[in-house]
Amino acid sequence: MISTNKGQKKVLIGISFLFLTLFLFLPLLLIFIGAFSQGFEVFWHAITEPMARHAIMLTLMVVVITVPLHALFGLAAAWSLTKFRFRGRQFMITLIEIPFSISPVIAGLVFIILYGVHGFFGEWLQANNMQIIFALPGIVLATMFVTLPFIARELIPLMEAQGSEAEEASLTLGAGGGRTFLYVTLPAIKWGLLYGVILCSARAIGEFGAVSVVSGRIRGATNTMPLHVEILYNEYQFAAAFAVASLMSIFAIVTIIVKQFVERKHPI
Amino acid sequence: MFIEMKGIAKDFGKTTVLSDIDLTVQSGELLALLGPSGSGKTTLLRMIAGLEWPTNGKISFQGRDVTNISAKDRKIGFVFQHYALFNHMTVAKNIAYGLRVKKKQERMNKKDIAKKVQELLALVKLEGYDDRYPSQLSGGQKQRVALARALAIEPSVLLLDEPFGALDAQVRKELRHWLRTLHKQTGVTTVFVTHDQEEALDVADQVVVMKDGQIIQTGSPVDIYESPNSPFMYKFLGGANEFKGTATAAGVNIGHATWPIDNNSITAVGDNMIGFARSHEMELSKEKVTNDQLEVCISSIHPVGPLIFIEAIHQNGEQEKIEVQLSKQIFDEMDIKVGDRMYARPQRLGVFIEDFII
Repeated sequence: MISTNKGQKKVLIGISFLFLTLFLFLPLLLIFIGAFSQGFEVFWHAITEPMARHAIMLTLMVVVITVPLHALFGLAAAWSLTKFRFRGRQFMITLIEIPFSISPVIAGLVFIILYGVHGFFGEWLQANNMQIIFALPGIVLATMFVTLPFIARELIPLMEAQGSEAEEASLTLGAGGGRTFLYVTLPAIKWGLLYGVILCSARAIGEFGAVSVVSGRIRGATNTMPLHVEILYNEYQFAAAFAVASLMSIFAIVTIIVKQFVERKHPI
Repeated sequence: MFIEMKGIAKDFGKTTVLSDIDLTVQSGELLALLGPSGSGKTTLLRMIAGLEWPTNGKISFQGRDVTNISAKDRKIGFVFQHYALFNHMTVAKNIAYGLRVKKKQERMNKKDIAKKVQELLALVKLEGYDDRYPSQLSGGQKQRVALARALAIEPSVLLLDEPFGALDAQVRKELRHWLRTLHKQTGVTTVFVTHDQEEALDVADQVVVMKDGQIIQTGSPVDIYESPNSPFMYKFLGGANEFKGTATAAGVNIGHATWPIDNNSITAVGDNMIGFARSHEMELSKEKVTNDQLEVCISSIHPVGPLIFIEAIHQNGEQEKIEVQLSKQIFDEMDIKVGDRMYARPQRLGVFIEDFII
């Protein structure tokens, strides 16, 4: 501390704490209070009734499809962007971050324009009896767009810092690309990869904007958890809405705990 | 193994890193690639390894063209400046790596690999370190593990990129003597890159000095030190006194002194000349006896252990500083003091035409 005395320190910590309480702890607490406001039975019913179960399953399905694909994409992108030098490399790194700065609603609209009935590929899709918008593929695409940077962004700086000497050493020792990746690269980045996977999963579960545009919110068909919460809320079923929301919050809290654990054990 | 590189050139985009390099490494030789940073020495070494591709030229091992063969199949041992150990593997696993990734039909069985690892640990004097992780080792130990790992595959050539560059002076000196001993023991053809002239001259059988992507001089350490072939070589190999003068029929005229030169084929009378003499190649005396002595005034005396470093000023139009290095014994006998008027002459002088650019 350069010039802060004890008093200033206390005030600053106090302000941070107050801020976190107002904007984080309190709302989180209210979710759980709301969820149980009409008793455990209502809570339990809200998260086990068929429509809710379907929303939960759909959300998990989206995560299961999205996250592994992004793990592969993230590895490939980070590998090519850090181990090779080529023209346009910096531009590609910037490109990967675009989903951070684009509103998810716009991302959803883009997919409607591309794959919707009156969209760019609409006629062709219809002729071939394929549906992307208002169906699982659309939801997956929208989620993938929004969560694209998470794993790649985690891996790029890590692999950049590690350089490619270990890989070169492996190569000179007679190992090919596959073995080098498996024995040298992957072990060196596994914690960073896990960290990225955790963040990516959390975001995929919670994605609302982009998904709400492409899903069509067909209950029991294309309704994900966040969409389900909104519908319940709009139908004045507050307790049920909070119940599903609390389940999502539990996912989020577990994610944070796992992330903390990974971070502490293997600081990146 | 006998390595031959012919007409090697390398461009990175518009910058030329190497141009028209011809280099031969004799079998069993310990060769140093020496040069300032940016001279292309590391690129050249990485090319021998197959980690870098020449834009032009040919590389052959033992007469066999390997220009387009990947590093994976060249069977070379490469040691990196920053060790490049696999941090998640133990020392033993690191050393065994090259043996374990071999194709099944060529791979030794586990027992033989373990035995080989023990032999290598003994060779690099790290017995008992099998289960340590790289993060638990000192820099010198890490580099020895890296060497053992490279030697495990019995490479036909060992390539080292500034192997001691990241170590402190003491360890550096120890390791380079140890490398020389190791080279004698194993006899494997070795090429190492360094920017430290002392290291190159101390360790290598053959030194190749590079600058700006070209080879400036090749020779034994004695050749390189005794007969630098250009002003750059004098400056790069630890510096020397620089004298500017004019060529005459008798030699080179500097101030009021004339110094004979043995290689007068390079000059024409009237040429501007530049001469170099190292500080320990300078002589001082109190009287002017011959006309190759330059009048100087002693400006500072700086004793360092058994050596005395003397700075003398020579008035030749503008003031020129001359550094002289004497042994303590001679210094004491001569009784030199600051302000003394004395006469300096070089025992040896390397002379070049002044606009000789290299």
